[in-house]
Amino acid sequence: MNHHPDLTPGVMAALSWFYLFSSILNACASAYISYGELVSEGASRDDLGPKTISMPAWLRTSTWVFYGFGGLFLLINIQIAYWLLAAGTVLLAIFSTADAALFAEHESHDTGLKASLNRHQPAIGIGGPLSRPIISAIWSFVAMIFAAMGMTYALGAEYAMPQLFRNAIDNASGATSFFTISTLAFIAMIVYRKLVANGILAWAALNFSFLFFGLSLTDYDFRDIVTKPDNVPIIGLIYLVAYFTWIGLRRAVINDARMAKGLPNLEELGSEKTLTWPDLVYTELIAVVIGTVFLIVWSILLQAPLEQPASSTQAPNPSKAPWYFLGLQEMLVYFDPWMAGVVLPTFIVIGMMAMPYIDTNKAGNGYYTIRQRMFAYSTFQYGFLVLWVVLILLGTFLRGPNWNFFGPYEYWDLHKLEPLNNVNLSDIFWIQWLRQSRPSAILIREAPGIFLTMGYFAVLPGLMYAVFFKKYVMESGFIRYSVLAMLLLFMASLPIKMVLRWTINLKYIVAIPEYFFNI
Amino acid sequence: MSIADKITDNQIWKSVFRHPMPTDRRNRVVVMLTNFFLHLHPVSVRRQGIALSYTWCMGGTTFFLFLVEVVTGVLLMFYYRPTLEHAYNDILNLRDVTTLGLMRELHRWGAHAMVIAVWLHMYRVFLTGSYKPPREFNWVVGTLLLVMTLLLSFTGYLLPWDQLAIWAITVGSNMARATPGVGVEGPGASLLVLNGVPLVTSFSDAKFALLSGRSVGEMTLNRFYVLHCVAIPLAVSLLIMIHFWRVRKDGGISGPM
Repeated sequence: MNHHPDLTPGVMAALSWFYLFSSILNACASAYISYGELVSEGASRDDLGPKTISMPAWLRTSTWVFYGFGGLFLLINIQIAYWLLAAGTVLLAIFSTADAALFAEHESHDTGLKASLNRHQPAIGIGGPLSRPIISAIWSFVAMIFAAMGMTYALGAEYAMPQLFRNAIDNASGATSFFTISTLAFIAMIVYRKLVANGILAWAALNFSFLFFGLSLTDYDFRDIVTKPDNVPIIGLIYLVAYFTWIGLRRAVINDARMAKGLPNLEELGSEKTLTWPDLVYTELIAVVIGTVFLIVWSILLQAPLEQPASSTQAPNPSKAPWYFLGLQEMLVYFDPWMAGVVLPTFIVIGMMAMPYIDTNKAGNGYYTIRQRMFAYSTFQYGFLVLWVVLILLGTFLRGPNWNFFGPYEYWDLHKLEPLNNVNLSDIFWIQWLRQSRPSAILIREAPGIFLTMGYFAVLPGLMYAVFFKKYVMESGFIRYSVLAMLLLFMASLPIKMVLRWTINLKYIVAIPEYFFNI
Repeated sequence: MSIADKITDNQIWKSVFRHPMPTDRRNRVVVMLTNFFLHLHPVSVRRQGIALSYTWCMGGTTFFLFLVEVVTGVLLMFYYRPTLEHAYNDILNLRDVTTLGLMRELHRWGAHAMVIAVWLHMYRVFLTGSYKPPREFNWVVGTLLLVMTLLLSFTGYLLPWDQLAIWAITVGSNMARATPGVGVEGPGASLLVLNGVPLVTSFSDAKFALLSGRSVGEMTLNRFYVLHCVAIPLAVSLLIMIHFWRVRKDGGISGPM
């Protein structure tokens, strides 16, 4: 169903700038790889020869000229500005790669290969040095592709994402697959963290996200949801969380490798004191200036939303809570309001507060590390990234009218019907298994569920103790363990109910609607 | 005598700034001790402690955004009236006709940014294990500040009094109705009966207390306005003071122990 045009002149202009921006980023990355002094975190520059690779003056000048005039023309003629910036970008991309190749050739002719700042000094634990010409060529190539895509739109060609792709993605996506893939991706990130910590993979992922966004923005329905003013900060949230997750991961990988070799970690390296004025005070001043400019530009470009005046009779469909609570609203699919809206949020807050008291691991205080606190690190990160942020994304972008799931390119159809054939555990137990009608006495009727729930909270802590936590209880005591076990069980209850819903359509484990007591 | 000297070489200037420009080591130390705002900071800090790759600058950003919210919020309060008659139109006028109506955009985007900045700050503190002793209690204070930030944003969400506002608050406050024991649709509430009279009704439950009505109405607007502009900011201010004080008392910006 196509109710609105996918491509309008405004969208195409925006896309041409979006791809140009992506292209500039990659051209800069290419130039950085080619000319930069690539000394990674904690790598020593002692005893290294000087850097002889540097950006030729003519290239520096012409890049500045193109970008300078391009910036100037932004105020005068936006078309000319576009082509000036694009030309500068292509120039930068081509010649930084050519230079990297040239230097590599010179170096291969140089017989006495001395260790020098010409070569990439990788951080310990991240892997070997990267090849300047190859990596530079890759990002140049990506820059050229993005530049070409941008120019295509600037010249007026109407390319939209093929409907075939959109349908395939829509059909493949669902609450189940979205959550499962997120969980698997999280596990993969932790397991293969050395690979992820490498900047190349992270930069490639960033480029894929640009490509995905660029292509998706050609779809009207995707655009309609993503560009809602209140949803724009969530796009920022995605990139910020991803970036900081990566930074933390990278520093943890480096620190772990350093400490395994008996070297001081990165945080210990800079332990000498420096005066607050000017070093910290000036940093704060710059941060305040950047923050102010950023907020003002954002406020000028994007108007705060204001819909029709409030009407208590016309409920919009879907009615959504503010975006930061959409993870909780998403939990309503699996739990009743008293659990999703009251009990679980309370446990989140209490659990956060209890954390410093139940995490008795003394290692990892004041520096990034994963190996020394694997359990705490991955549990918290799973909670934040998957059970909080991913659920917010799901609730914001993929939940439409009647809280039905909609693929990213699907029209939010008010009349979409999703069969709800969910059953309670008591139905399964009495009717399907014992083939008799459910007993009328509530407690007997719900006995299987009550038994199961009590077993979950009473038996599992003992099992977990025997298998995983013996040492912890020895060191930290029974009370701390009890709190930890309860918090873990409550945290796990969400994925458990999700899986039960997806596999056996289970609605409630204990269903006593007479007293609003449904679990 | 240069102009700069003329400005600084008099009794008024010297009564405010009790020392020369902090250009040498001595005065860079003294400035931190004699300036009210700067004395939040210690005289010297570990170089790694202030590295952006370590702190991400998110705690400071959160505080900066809080100040932005206070300033823009006060300016908005001069203009906005929290009544059914005026609320929506005042916001409409802020958008279309008012000088400095941009304050509303600054306030709203700043609020979103503040929520994100708080999360990222806590994320960093967790990833570096900076909540561990001796900073346990400050992490607790920080968690309370997180809750307060979300409540500030939530109460502010209602004030424009448009469809987005009241239905978001309706969805949010429907949860209160299900609070165990004190919500009319919460488990256990129907068991609380005294002499055959139910104690928890839709006129006396948690949702009623939150909205001061059975549904979102004018009294809710008033209640949220007071919470948003007075009650919660006061609580936040107190908690921020404790938070900053404890950062210093617990050993400054965290680092390897």
